[in-house]
Amino acid sequence: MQVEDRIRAFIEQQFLVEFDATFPEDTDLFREGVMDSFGYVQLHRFLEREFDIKFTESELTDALLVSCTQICVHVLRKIAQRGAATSGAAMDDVQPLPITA
Amino acid sequence: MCGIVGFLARDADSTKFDGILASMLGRIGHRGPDAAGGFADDICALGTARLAIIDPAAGAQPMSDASGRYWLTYNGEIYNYRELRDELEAHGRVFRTRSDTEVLLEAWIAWGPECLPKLNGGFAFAIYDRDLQSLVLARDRFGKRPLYFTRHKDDVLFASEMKAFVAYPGFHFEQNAGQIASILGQWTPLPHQTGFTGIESLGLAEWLEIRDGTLTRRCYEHLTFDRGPAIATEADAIARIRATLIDSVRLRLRSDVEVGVYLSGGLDSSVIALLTSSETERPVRTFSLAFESADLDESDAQREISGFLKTDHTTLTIGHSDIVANFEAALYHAEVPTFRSAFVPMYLLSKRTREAGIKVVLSGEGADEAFLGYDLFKETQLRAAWDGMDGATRLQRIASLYPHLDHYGPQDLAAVTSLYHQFSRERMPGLFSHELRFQNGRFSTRLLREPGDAFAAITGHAAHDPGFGAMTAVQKAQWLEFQTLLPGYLLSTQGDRMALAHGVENRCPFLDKAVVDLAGSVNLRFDDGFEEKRLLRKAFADSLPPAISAKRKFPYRAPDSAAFAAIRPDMLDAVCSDQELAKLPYLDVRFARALVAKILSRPAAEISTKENQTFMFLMSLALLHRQFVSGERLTPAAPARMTFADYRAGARAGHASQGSFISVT
Repeated sequence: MQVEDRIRAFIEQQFLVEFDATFPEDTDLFREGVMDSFGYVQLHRFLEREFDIKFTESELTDALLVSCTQICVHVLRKIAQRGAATSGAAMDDVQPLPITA
Repeated sequence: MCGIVGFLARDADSTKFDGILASMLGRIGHRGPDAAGGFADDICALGTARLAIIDPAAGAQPMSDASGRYWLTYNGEIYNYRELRDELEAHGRVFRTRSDTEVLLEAWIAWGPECLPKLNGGFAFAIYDRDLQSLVLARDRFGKRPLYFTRHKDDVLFASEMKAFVAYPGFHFEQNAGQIASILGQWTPLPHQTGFTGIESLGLAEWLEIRDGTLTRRCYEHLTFDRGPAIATEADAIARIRATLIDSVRLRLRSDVEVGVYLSGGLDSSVIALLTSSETERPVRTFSLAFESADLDESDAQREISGFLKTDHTTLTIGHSDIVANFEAALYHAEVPTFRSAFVPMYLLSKRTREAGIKVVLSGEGADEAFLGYDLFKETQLRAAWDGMDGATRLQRIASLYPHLDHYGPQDLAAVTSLYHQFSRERMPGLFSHELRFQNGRFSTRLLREPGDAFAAITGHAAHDPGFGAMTAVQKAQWLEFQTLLPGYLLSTQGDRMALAHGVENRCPFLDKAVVDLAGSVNLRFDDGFEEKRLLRKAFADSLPPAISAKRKFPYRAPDSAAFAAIRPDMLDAVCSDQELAKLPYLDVRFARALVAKILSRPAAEISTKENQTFMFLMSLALLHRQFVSGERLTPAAPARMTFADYRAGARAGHASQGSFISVT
């Protein structure tokens, strides 16, 4: 399963939502009452465990994980950074992905 | 303490008034099992189900003045009635009884609505002026005692509990989706909300006059936190806290029957038990709840304080089956949607208390609101000061906020910090302090197909208050607590309604106006508020065991959805069956189905707070619909047998101008 699909499935299952035209993936999950502190921590734990990534404090505060779209962007970026680091590329070579959500 | 009912019906057939009154009183007879009384003339009827506490022999109701012009039906206690009586006697008023009922009646006659700010107590009453043909309803400042009213065609009805309206000919209950959205969002009804269309609760410190077909509502006092005395030093603050609470407890021990204490094991009720013990000669009767689930149980602390004070102690232990078996009965008394099950054990505790022969108890409600005991107040300060704090301070403060919540543990602090960062700026006008809490509420509104703006009502309610805008962030948080969770759940669903379900009157010494005013003067004056209720602790540190005076707040909770998931009672069909869910036209059935499936299929540890409380809301909405809207599970109630003062035209013809007193069943 693709990264985006795994994230989407987790959110749908965990937060009792179904993404569709009436509830698009760029919906702010806080504003819609989908996520609270417990849910946010659950999501955070899931992402770090599932994709073997670690968010820094500044990443968490600067770019909050508020929508499925935005979460996917961040996770893909972290995975790309990790891959670059593993293959010996300098971190500076990795271009950050735009945050659009 | 009593239950009151009545109506003003100009065009109705008054020959039926006594029967209607008896049926309405029968619905709330649990509030006053000692006696029932009624009054009627040709347009108005008043009734009282009386729990006799002060002057049991002579305080019968409804009570009239000597002329028969004014008639009063009254629920509650005016604790400063002796002082008011002295004042009234100095003005030449003569009393026939030593009851607080007569003091209230004479105070109204002497001062009119000007008497209301003078009253120190929990009360709701109706007073009828036969000459003016006007009816006035009034309620205490903190919402300790209930009073509901509704317009039915051309009639105006009122009652201590809405269930009395069931007995009024032609009256029907209908759940109100707009109000339900508001209740789900903010966790509890606002002071005027009920969840039912057309039925309103009289607000806090409100009085209502019905005259010539017009209803006029006024507020006699607004809640502020700057009315207290000037306090110069911490030592003075501590001394005054102690003295003011001693006075408050003394006032609330005014009773002609024995007074007990509800003992949770926390600081607040321990202070009350301590002060009660010092005012009474024989051991105080104390009553506590214990839980089979260790994570909910405080019985060690209860044993410690009851042993220390040598009280005559009773403990009632609650398990999952107790919650489920009594949920419907307790909800019938609560009458409003509820987000927790913790009111059910209180229903059972009042039953046990009454069986033990006690019909008045003191309890600790209001201490956390007055003295900033909730973590919410610290959270508000933290978020308000967020931008000026360094990262280490933020982490340290967050870590101290909710140590009982697993997701606030060290491993998740970074995630929680990022969440707080997001909530460090106000998004909902005036509601900054409660924005994180309302995330849970926002989730609950997903039960509704069209929730609309669930927070419009509370935003408007706050904006309407003349002093709210100028309050500090923490004072706003306090104000919101005094308007929502305290009157909308703690004093009502978990307090008055459960106690009075079994004829027990609960009194709250921390909700004396002098105590609340004093707390406003000392809060955050001598500390930063991060040690909860520090001054209150210091005031009684020398008089309580260290394990109690230093004990951190332990939230009172009961098994919620876990109890239903474990027991699987038949009543679950109300939320599992599509046919049953379809009876709630406002419901998003797809979401409700998904929620229930998760609650019943996943371990309790995987159920979040918001899911838990949303499930409780769903259960209560469905069961309230069965009881009040469809009537299919409505608890039967026989008409009350009452003494009746008959001032209707027919009676007057036969009994001159004083009316006739008869017994009506």
